[in-house]
Amino acid sequence: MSRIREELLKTRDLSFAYEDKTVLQNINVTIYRGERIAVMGPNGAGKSTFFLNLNGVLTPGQGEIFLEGRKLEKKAFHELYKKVGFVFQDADSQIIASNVRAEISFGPMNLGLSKAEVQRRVEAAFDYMDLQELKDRAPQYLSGGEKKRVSIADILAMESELLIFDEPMAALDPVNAKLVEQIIDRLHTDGKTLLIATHDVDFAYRFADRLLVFSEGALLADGPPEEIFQKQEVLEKAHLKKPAVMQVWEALTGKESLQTDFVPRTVDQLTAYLSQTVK
Amino acid sequence: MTKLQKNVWKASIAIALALSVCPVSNAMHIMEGFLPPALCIAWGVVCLPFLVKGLINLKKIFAENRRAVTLVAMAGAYVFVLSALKIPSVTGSCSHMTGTGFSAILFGPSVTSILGIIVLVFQAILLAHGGLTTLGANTFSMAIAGPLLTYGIFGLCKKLKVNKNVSIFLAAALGDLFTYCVTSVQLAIAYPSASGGVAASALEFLGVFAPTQLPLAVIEGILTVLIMMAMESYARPELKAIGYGR
Amino acid sequence: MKIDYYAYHSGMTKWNAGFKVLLAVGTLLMVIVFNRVRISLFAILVMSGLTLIAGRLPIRTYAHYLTIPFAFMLLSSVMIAVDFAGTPKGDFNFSLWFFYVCVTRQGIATAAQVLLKAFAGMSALYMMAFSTPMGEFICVLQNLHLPGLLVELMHLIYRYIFILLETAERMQTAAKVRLGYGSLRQGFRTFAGIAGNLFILSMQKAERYYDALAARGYDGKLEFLREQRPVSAGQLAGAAAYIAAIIILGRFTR
Repeated sequence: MSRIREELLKTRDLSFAYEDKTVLQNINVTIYRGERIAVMGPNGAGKSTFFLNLNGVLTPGQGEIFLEGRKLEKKAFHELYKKVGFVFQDADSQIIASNVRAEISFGPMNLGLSKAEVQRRVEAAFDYMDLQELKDRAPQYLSGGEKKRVSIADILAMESELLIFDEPMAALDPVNAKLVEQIIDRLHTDGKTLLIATHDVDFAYRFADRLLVFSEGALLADGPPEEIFQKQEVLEKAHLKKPAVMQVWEALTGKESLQTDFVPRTVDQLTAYLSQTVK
Repeated sequence: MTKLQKNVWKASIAIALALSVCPVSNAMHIMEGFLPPALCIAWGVVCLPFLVKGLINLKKIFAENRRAVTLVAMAGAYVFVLSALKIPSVTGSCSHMTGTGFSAILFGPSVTSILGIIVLVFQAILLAHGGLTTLGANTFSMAIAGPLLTYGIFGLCKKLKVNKNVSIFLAAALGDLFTYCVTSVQLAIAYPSASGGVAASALEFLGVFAPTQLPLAVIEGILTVLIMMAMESYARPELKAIGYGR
Repeated sequence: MKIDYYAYHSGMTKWNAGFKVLLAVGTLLMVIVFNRVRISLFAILVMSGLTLIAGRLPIRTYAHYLTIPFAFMLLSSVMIAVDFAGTPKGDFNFSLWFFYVCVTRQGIATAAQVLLKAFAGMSALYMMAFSTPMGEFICVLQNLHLPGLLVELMHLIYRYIFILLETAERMQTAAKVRLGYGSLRQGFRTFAGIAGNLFILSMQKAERYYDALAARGYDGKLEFLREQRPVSAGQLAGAAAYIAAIIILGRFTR
């Protein structure tokens, strides 16, 4: 990793309370351009609230937010949606227009762009998400997987640099889950910064180069997955378990993953290694 | 058979035939094309002040709390869906609730008038209940007159400290009955009887729709009570949040 | 809710929405203003023709939907034809205890006229409803400068209706599986349970839905990109010929 780490978004001592209940407490996170971050932790740990704060929907009670190194004025927080896109877990709760074209145009329209530019972005999102054939369809006649693609296109059309996904694979069948994972990989290749909430440790292990673990409104751990998945107390507190590939690897080598030179992250890497050694 | 028996028999066949056609919409929407142009416009004009009041109130609500937009929209969608759900019945004929009584009790008459007219447009286009030229008349009977009476009765009962379930029942059932009376009068004004004028004609319309509308008003009352009871058992805090906490 | 489905799959879906709405509403107005049998018949012919041929709606579906308002129409028309009086003054009279049910030829003619007018109205409404997706209809209202608040609510309500319907359907299926509709009494309880639960659910969803709107920069104004669909010269000519025909039928013939 010789790339210079460019700071994209940073929070300092960010806290948020809903009525008199503290939901987030002193969150300090710096997100760098191009990172792949998995956000984990039990339901109610504050992940969604954290995202809504990053995206400007909710305004933190205390704390500061820095965008590309510059500190934001509090009244500029609600403009964060221009830089930070948020794909909701349930596509139905995100889709509001009565056809796909209008739906995808909603975000760009709010950015105050010209009609021609909105048109261009909508078309680009159609192409990226393979939606050309669905553009005149109504959301109520789309399948779950199609709705998910539309909800991702919604955010792509806003051309935000940081993309947040809240459990993108939840409630999808295996085929569509795989499709969404491929899309996520492609977004990374295309230079997007990704922040993905998930309960799937295996996915987090193969996808992320950094893990954020939330528990009871606080940031419990922040670091590379192979490190965090070794910390028993973190796993217990956040109700997580070791990824299957990691467990198999450790059983085979008899060592903790960190102590070996090569560490497989995916089933493919593991099987490739195994078939080599068996031969 | 005497002449009388014959006619009663014929009448009962006609009614049975009418009832067997599905759906007999509870709401008694006046169908497209049934009203002369002057009355279409007149009923629309009568509705206007109520609708303007409703819009002004909504604007105020949204100015105070922008998040209320999705809440109000959800309420509108709910009224539509409630009126589209089939009420279980033994006879097999399908009937529906109006849902506007429910809305009047929870959200008050002025918000209900706006939700009501939107729901009526959707019912006309998506379900073929009612029509566009008769929208004014239907809005007056179903989204304004009925809900106003419902709201009034509910308020009166509260003042008189009537049991809550009884007041909900009375408010919803009487509001429903009132809607049907107003519709009958609207039809009578459009088609007065040759011998007895509007009054006689209104009686005729009331009579012919009574066999379906009277039981439906009672059912609307019962179901509204049951729904309120079911809701309370699910979530009191949510009800408080929308201002229903008596 | 099948009408909604057909609206997206009609041969006329791609026609300019404003044109369709204007044609339907224009027909409605002309039918009730002229109030003549021949105009009603002509409108039924043209509007049904459009729906069935240009819109390619299956004729059985169309016939089914035409019978929906039948009960209301039948009862109302009978009442228009019939009169109650103390003396037998109609052309046909039936004695009922102390009064007469009278039917005059005039009354029958009026009832038939009203019935036809209503059918003509329905055929015009159906031409529009079966070919115009609701979102586009709402945009037409927007172009007519209806209050923005009303238009915005319509957009949202239309979308939410389907979400709630889907949820309600799931609940009903679950209730059926558990035999929740056995007796009438039980049926009422189940219905109310579903309706009550649905209401609470809808209020809870509303919160999250606002977040989703705000996450994409909603600021009190709901705006979408709309596809411009020009009206073709043929369509314009057809509409002009149709309106001219109605006016000629209405004014210059007896």
